[in-house]
Amino acid sequence: MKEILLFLAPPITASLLLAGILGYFGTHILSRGIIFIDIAVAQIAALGTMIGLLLGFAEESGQVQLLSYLFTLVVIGSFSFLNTKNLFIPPEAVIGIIYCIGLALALLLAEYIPGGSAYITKSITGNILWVTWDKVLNCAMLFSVIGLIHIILGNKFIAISDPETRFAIPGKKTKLLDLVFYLTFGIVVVKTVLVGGIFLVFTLLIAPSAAASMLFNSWKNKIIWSWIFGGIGTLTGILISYYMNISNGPAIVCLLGLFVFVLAFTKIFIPSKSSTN
Amino acid sequence: MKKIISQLSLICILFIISGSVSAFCQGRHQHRHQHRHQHRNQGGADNSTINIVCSFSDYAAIAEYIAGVHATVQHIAHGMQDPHFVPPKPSYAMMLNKADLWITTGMDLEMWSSTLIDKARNKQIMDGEIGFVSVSDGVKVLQKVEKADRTEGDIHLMGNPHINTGPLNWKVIAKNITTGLIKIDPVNASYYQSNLSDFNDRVDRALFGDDLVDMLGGETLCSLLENKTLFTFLEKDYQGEKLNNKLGGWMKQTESFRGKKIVAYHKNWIYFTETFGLEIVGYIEPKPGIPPSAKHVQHIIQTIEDQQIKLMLVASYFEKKSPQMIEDKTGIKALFLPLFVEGIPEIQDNFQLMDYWIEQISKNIQ
Amino acid sequence: MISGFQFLVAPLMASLLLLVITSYFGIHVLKREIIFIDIALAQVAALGGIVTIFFDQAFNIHGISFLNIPLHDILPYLLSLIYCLIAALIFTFLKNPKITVPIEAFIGIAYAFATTAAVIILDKSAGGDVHIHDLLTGTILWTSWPQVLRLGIIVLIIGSFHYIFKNRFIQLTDTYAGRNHSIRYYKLWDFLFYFTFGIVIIEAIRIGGILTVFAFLILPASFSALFSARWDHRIFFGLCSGIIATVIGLSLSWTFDITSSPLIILFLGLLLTLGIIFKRLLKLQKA
Repeated sequence: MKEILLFLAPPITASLLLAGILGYFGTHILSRGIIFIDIAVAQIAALGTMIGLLLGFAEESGQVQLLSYLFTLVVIGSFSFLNTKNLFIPPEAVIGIIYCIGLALALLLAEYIPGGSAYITKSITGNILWVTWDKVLNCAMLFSVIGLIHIILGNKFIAISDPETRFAIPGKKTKLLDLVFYLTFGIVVVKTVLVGGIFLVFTLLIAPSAAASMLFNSWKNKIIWSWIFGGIGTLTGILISYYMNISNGPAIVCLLGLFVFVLAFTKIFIPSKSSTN
Repeated sequence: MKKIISQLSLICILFIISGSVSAFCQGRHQHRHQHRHQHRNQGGADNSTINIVCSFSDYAAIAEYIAGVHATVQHIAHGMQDPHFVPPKPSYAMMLNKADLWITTGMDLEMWSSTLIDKARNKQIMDGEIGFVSVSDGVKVLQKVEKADRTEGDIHLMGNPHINTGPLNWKVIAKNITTGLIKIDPVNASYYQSNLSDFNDRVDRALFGDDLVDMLGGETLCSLLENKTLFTFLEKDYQGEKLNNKLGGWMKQTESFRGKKIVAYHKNWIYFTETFGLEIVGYIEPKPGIPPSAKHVQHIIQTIEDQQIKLMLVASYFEKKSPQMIEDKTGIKALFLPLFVEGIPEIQDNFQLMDYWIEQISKNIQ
Repeated sequence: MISGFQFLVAPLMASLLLLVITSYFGIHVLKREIIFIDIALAQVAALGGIVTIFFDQAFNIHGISFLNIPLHDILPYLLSLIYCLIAALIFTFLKNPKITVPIEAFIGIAYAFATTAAVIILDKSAGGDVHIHDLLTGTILWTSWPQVLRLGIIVLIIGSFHYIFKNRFIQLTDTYAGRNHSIRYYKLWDFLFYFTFGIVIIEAIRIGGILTVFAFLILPASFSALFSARWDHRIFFGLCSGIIATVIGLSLSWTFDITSSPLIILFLGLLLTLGIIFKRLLKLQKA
């Protein structure tokens, strides 16, 4: 028993960190209605890596990682400047277009890079089980820095994410806050995808916050309960993966996914349930 | 209304332009394809040479050996590509359309080839026809599945298809290619047979060294190796010294490997390890695309620790990230090896590939 | 010797058929803000196919034939349709005032769930080596005439259905965001929308792959949104941009020997950019 806990300790800690930060961002993302943004970001990051490789840097080098981050931040920064009110298409469509074109470019470039097909976000790569305490610490530090930014500016971010209060704020201020929000979000996504893989990140971003948003109305509750659902979900998922010998990431994803759907249908079909505050 | 008319005319103009551009380009364009240099071909390709297309560069290298001046050999998958996923390009279909011989593994490894073959519309190279060569016929296949029923899709029911990693298999591959060549070009049969003997001899000598081959003959040695009785046999004395002392070639170079335990990322290496005595105690990701479970991961980490495993073989087409995470976690060394000929530019044939593997593993095995 | 033209005719016809149906459905998708639905439905359908393998192994239905068609040939398709039906039902019911979460979130979760459930089933049921094949790039260059015919029939059936009831469907989508619905049997029509959409998409993805279909849905519809708000105009503009991109993309993919989907998508993107610039210039002119 002790060995199991010892073995599972780093992955569980890492998952809890991930669930925490992604649950927070997820509540915002849900409110802004740009659900698939992290998949788009992940693909753009991969594209950045490919460009780095094409320029001749070695795969493990710091330059490639840097290029990947920079490229992502540039793209996501430009996205933040889009004038969502006057846009003729919904922001999610823009996300879709970015993802689509990013993927197309990656497919074309994959020809010229040995082993290039690994950079196309199609598979469930990434396994949080291999994470070391080193990496966990690394993540914790990064997330605390970003967390700090968000604690300080938290209320302002909520104001611009919430569609009801967003347009009451002067345009320039909104733009600046948007930029900071998306940049920090971009960094978090790139980091978490490196640690846990795209599907885990996607699910942790959306599922716990969806569940929380269905049950609660206030932002504070939504965020707190996303953490709780995300944390419990990953913990249970890892244990199931262990005891039933099922692939790890998929176990967590399926569990959280089922939970959300069951919750949704319970809410629809049981008339007496009313949303609490 | 005006807008629609101008749009329509724009479309028409664009149709015409794109149509003429492509027609023009076709006239001038040379199809780029994977083309192997013909070391022994002085005359250059002419209309009387046989067109051979192989799925992998390894088979192409062997085919060149056998077919020599009588054929132009091309292959589809890059040496660096994942053999399971090869995105189809138009030129591949063209290559296959003009092929006289299609050389493939024949064990459902090249799933991607079926769309290509369909589009190529070349009756001669379809399965069962005279131009189809399945190189795995007669190979002693490892890791067959016990279940007798067949299911659809992506399951290697017939066993491990990565036969190019075992030198003993090269002889079977060469034999199948020779048979195929003789079928479509019986006139030059003796030429092909002679090249085949040359090739087999070269494999024997590379494996065992000249001395033993001269003394006992390659076939004997190979069957001893296959039956795993080679080393007990070599304990025998002959003319005052142990036969073992006369051992040369790869078997000699890999003496230090025998019995060593390693881990492999995926099931690419089984034929290699069987031949040279390495023991694979576990696979990281036996089913690619399906991340291992927590239990499996713990088991692997435990095994690596318990048995002091220092080396993990990873085919170089895999992404480096996961193996590196494993290195960090367990202290094991991940050795990236190209799985095929031309996986790195310096490796131009199967022998060089094997030399490279043995050299790299020797350097890194504790 | 196959000429370029011979090679490209079938793919061109297939693309045309795809564009006809996607320039229409794309507008729906954009308006309802369910952008990634085709990816989700594709995965759900794929899950259906994989469950078939599981059935195959568990109940060994290999020998069974139904109406002279071996069951294990049509079962994957049948199950994909059934799963699609279930998904359509789920999405219909989720459009409920009690659910304050955008439906795209459920689409996303369905996508992740379907993908990972498929992985788990494959992992657990298959005895030997399993290699996951993805439907991402698709094989539009490799389309055969029987496939084109099949696509044509489905496009015809679903297309006519939507043409006959076009007012119903258009109204449905135009009022999707709102809370009160003036249409009778609102839920039924919503369900029919998702289900017919699913049937078409499954077929489309078999031929073009997930990425191509996704791009065909989003990019032409976005392009058309620049120039008009009327449905018939939008379908026309969408179709135009799609055809241009496809013709150029396919011929260049032949000439430069590259897979076609990425090229077509890049040209669609290029057209969109040109469209935006064009519109900007128009605006500046008017001002």
